[in-house]
Amino acid sequence: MANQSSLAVPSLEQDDAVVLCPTGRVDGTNVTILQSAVRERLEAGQTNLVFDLVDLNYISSAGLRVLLMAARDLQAQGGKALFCNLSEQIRQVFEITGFDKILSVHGNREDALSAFDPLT
Amino acid sequence: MMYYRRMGGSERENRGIDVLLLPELNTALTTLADAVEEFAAQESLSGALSINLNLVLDELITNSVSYALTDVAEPVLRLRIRRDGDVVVAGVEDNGAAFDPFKEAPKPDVEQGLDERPIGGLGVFLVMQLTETAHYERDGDTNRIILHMKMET
Repeated sequence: MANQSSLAVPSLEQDDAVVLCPTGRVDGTNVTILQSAVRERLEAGQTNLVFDLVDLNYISSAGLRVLLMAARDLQAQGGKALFCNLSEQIRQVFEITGFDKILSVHGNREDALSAFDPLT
Repeated sequence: MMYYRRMGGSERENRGIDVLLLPELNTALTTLADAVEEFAAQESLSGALSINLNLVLDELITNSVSYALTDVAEPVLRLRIRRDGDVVVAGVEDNGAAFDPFKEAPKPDVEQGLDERPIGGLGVFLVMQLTETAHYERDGDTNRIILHMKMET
């Protein structure tokens, strides 16, 4: 049986921001992995995060809650959470839940990164 | 693992999914994903419908495991999926306390801003939005939710 619920969150630092790439599926069984990845950056004072969702195949409401909390926590610290490369499924759940209006969604990573600095 | 297929009938009648899920989140959601994958292959579902079918059942099963069944001595959680014409009919049953999520779960206000949005309530809302119909009934000691999702034609 395939491990359907596998999730990894590789990250890299780019242009004064941290890009997190949740890879696989995020559901109620593994949201803590995503939560910890965000908390680690917050605790290191890194508050400009890009969530590049290009390799995220599936997200349930448990994962959406973590993204919402992350956006809120980063904003409270004077930072920002930006989202890019949404798959069709993720774009649909963002639209249904209104997340596309309250979260900052960009087409690709370059667009997202340039949104941190309006002068570039 | 408590995972079995009911036997009997012709091969045609055996199409569809009928499984008991272990009421433990990791196992239940893995079994769900496998079951949806198998059903999607049987009925040649589109990728989008398979993902949405998995999502709505994930939300219901997560609620059953995390809330309805936590205090039940002999928990039962059953998943059924079948095709009826161009409609996918899916059912989730548990023997937890009576609870109609479509009436009793709080509905999120999707117009609220980042700071005002409550954290909960999204799962049931997604179920209602991604299905044609989402119906709850209480049958003896069983909560039964029946979902209809249209296949693209």
